[in-house]
Amino acid sequence: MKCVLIVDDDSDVRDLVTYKLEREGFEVRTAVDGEAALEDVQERTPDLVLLDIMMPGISGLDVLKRWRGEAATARLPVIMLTARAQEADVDLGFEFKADDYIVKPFSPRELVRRVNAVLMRVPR
Amino acid sequence: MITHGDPGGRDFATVAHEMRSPMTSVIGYLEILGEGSSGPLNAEQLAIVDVISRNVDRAHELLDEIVAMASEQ
Repeated sequence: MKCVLIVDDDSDVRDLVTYKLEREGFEVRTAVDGEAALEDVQERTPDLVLLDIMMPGISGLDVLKRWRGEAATARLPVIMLTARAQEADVDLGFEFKADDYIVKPFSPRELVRRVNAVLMRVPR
Repeated sequence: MITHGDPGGRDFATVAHEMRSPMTSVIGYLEILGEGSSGPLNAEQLAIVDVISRNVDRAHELLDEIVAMASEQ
């Protein structure tokens, strides 16, 4: 069973994505902010992370930058979730080597499709 | 209070963007209700979900317009 870590400060969004992914057969873990996400991944690396950008404390982009700078997480599949659709943010996501980018509000069906697409590209 | 370009306060663009998170939950749970994965809905309930969905889609379009307007300011 593939494990997905959801990182978002909005509990309703975490619950929504958890509900959808669990029904699709994923094991789901959640983190409420960047700090919690860093600790969670250090303990056990998930198969994929859904990472919100705008969070209190450490931003999602800074979390991604930290992971990309460490050998153990340099290739960890990460899909950024964001409220900002501007191209500058998209560039930042790909500059830090995010695997994909989903703009809120999103369809849970579409999110599952994108998660599966990224996981299929990962050589494991 | 919503301000325009006041570094001490949330500006118009930020508030417009923050509306996207609650919109995510509304759109997402409506999709789950409509597809019946949380339990089947009868015809009347499906019609109600359809009306809500159409109006949420309209609100989403308006939100995109607000975000575009905020970006131009």
